[in-house]
Amino acid sequence: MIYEIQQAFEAELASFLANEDVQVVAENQAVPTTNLGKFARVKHIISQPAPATYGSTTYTRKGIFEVDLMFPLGKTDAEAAQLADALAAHFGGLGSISVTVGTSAYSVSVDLAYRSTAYPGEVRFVVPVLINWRVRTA
Amino acid sequence: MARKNKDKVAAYQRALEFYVEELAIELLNRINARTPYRSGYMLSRNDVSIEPNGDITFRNDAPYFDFVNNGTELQPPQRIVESVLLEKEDMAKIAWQRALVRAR
Repeated sequence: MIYEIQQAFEAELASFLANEDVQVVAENQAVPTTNLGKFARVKHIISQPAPATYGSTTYTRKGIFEVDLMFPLGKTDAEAAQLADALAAHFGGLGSISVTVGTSAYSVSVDLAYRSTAYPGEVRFVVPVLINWRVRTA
Repeated sequence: MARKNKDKVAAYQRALEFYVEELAIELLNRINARTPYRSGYMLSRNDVSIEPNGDITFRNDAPYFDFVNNGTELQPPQRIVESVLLEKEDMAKIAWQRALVRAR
């Protein structure tokens, strides 16, 4: 189920970034150090394991979908910050996403989407956008 | 009957005093469980304190804690603290139960 949620968030991100010149880097890929293009590194952080139940009707899990926007240092800092704000606003206003796994249906809602503290790295400016989500049985 | 209720009220008042302490312990335990370690220095520097106004403050003075928690350009973030804070409702429930047991 958690993989379907990851896919849903990544698909949402891909559609948001479709018109931007930003390449998405998956969790298991390294951000190239030679190519100084614009990148969005994604990371999924799942909070606490699902509790074992005897068929409880309610099911909730929480997690963070983090998108680190990495832009080359220099003039583009403002652009990265602007895109980060737009990203947070987009996911914040998303409401809920429906995810179906087999016969089970889940509703994923975004609790809080915010831009974290930006910092300049060695060669890139990094703006983390944190999207806190919560899933319930629909 | 009135006496029983009085005892209960007193127990709840005592539990309230223990609650913040239990919450801080639960927070520290969960952060410790998720802190990665190599030498164990960063793990040993996890610290939680209760402020006079009742706020719980988490601190880690390992100089590289930020790099591990928030990531760098070259390594992805772990978000140890943020992922534990997502569980605040569960932590509150557990802390309250433990506080009630202590107040008995």
